[in-house]
Amino acid sequence: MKRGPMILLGGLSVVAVLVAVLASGFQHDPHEIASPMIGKPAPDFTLKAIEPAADGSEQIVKLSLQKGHPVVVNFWATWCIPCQQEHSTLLAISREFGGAVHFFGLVYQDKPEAIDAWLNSRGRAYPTLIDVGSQAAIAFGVYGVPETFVIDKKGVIRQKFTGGVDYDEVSALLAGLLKEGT
Amino acid sequence: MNILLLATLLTAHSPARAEEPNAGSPVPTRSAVASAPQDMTADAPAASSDPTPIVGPPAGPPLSGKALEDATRTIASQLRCPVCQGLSVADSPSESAVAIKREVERLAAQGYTEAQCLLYFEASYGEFIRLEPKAEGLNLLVWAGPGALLVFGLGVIAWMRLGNRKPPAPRTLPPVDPALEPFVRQVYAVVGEGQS
Repeated sequence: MKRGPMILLGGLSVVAVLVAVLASGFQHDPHEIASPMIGKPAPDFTLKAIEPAADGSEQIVKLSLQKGHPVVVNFWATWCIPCQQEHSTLLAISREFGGAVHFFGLVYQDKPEAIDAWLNSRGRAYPTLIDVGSQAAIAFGVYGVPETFVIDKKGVIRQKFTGGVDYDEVSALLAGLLKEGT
Repeated sequence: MNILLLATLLTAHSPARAEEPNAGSPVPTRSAVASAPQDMTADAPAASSDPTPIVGPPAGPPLSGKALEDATRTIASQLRCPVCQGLSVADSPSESAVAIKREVERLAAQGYTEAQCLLYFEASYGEFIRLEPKAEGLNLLVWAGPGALLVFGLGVIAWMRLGNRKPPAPRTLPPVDPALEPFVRQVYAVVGEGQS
């Protein structure tokens, strides 16, 4: 075989491989990074809520004490535009499930005064926790906000949502978790 | 269409404080850890994650002073800043990187070794958090691929050069009238075949 066609064939092969790699890459959301935390016990945290407890005292939340209930942990921040868009969805889901599912919003790299003003204007339905030093975010492997983790009754992370959550998807997941035993 | 898709992806999830104008600038100083803005210091309890269930108890001695600073720098330089483009945690001034750097410092101070710290962050973030992928499995392609391509390229070049050295095939004279052939040969002898 002559060299010219062979070189052309070799070049086309390399280009074909590159095109295949790029085509495969473009089919994935670059922000959708699979979490190695799914299927593992949720890292415990003890954090203070912005909202006081029912008796007016300081409200401290310890995640490991929530076992027996599915838990939704939503990392968000006031400076995050998608967080504004998904807030109403989370409020609706939390109201749908009442006290059967425990919801917590973990505020990430933000200012307390900004958080309060933000929640006052957009509504609140569950405790908002301050993630000091982003330690909880690091333990959960949070890359950015919003990221939402759904934890089952045994304290195992069952799903992670990157970006705004979908009402139907989260509701269906929680309904399934509620049917599971502890 | 592609621009729309890109815009959708970019707005769907905000990398932590990625909008910081200097998020990509290297500021590899320890003071960045110490003086990092603590927006939510207050008196709120910290999450105080415990890496022991994941990596076991600290395998090294507790560190402090210069040794702690060096260990923090060494470990942080191997971790990818989650909100930057190709920057290590050690080299990024972003809030996320500073928070991770502070966590590295906390772990190293307790005696967790470099390997334990890397394993701890890998357990929550995945292998992507390592700036340099481990040379195993499919990752070997990343390590061996460039070398293999280089060898392949050199082989192609060598093959082409050697191919050019082959002696040219003996040239056959174009068919001519047999009666004129002696004259044609004389002409070739005078002007040379290369000019024919």
